[in-house]
Amino acid sequence: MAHPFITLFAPHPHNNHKAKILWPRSIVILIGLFIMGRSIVDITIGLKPGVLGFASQIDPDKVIELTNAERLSVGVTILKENSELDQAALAKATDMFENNYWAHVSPTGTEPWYFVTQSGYEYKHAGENLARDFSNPKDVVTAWMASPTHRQNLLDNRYKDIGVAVVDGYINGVETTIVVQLFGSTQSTVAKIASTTVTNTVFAKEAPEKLIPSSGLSPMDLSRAWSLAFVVLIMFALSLDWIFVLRYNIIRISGKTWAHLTYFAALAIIILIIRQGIVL
Amino acid sequence: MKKPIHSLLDYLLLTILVSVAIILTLYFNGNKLFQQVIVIGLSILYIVWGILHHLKEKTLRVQIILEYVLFGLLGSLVVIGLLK
Repeated sequence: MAHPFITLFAPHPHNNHKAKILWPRSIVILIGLFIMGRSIVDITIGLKPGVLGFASQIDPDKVIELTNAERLSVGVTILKENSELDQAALAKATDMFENNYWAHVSPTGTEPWYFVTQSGYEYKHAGENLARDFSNPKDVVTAWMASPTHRQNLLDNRYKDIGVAVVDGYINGVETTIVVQLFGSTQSTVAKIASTTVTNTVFAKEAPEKLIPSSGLSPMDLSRAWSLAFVVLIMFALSLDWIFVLRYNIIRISGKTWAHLTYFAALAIIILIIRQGIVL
Repeated sequence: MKKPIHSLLDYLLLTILVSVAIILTLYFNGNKLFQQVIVIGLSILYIVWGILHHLKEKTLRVQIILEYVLFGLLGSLVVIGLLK
């Protein structure tokens, strides 16, 4: 009688020359287990808000600096930090946490321009980029640049001013860091920039103090580990299968093990390279 | 036993497919919707690849199609679960 471990993971006469874990019914069970595990994480987040979370220390000044570097690289004029837009960005981030949403428009229909107007900034053109769950400013700007719509906002020559807020809080029970980037231009941009330069400096120093670094376990890390565990398990069984079939020249009706391995190896790489942050 | 040349070409095509998917995932990092589309696209192409490959080799069976579909489903789920 073959050891259950062998029949589970390696081709053997007792498992019809195919590891039991690669049988269709086992794959269905694995799919069920994966969904169950994910549901447990989601339910935990719902029942115990704050158990899982992600918070980072992103310097708003660095976001502005990197944004301007991108603009300079394509020959677009750089943006001046504007305290009113900073306040509008902060108000938008606070509103998202208070009303538990992650969107450009709030569930009650409040648009980003409401916060811009409320801050006293009389805009002619305005734009908003959002990001969450990033660990550093470089990744935030890189992600915006990789998205056509965010890139368009970031490099838009009509904008003359910028405001950035980075705020830590809870959305749907998960601790997260939100980055709000607002762009704008007024009818009299030049005069406005000159009058707000001094207060800008004060605000930029205040904003980072709102960040509370957290060492909480990120839901993304947990999900990544859970997904990788399944891929590694399948790859382990497929590798043994491939070796045994080659070694003992087994002929059977089955899919191509090398093709399955290629597919799952690609998925393993994709799981590892997917970055934590989201842009909107 | 040597593999016929068309079989090697099939594997080369599969390698190109997965490489393109990896590069696109890297390029669209931060855009989860695009990444979901890439992973679903890769899984569908992998299933189609499997069916066409076995069809050419005259070894296509229902259980083989089921195998590719289930692997494709599991593969899609484990990555999309990460992109929720």
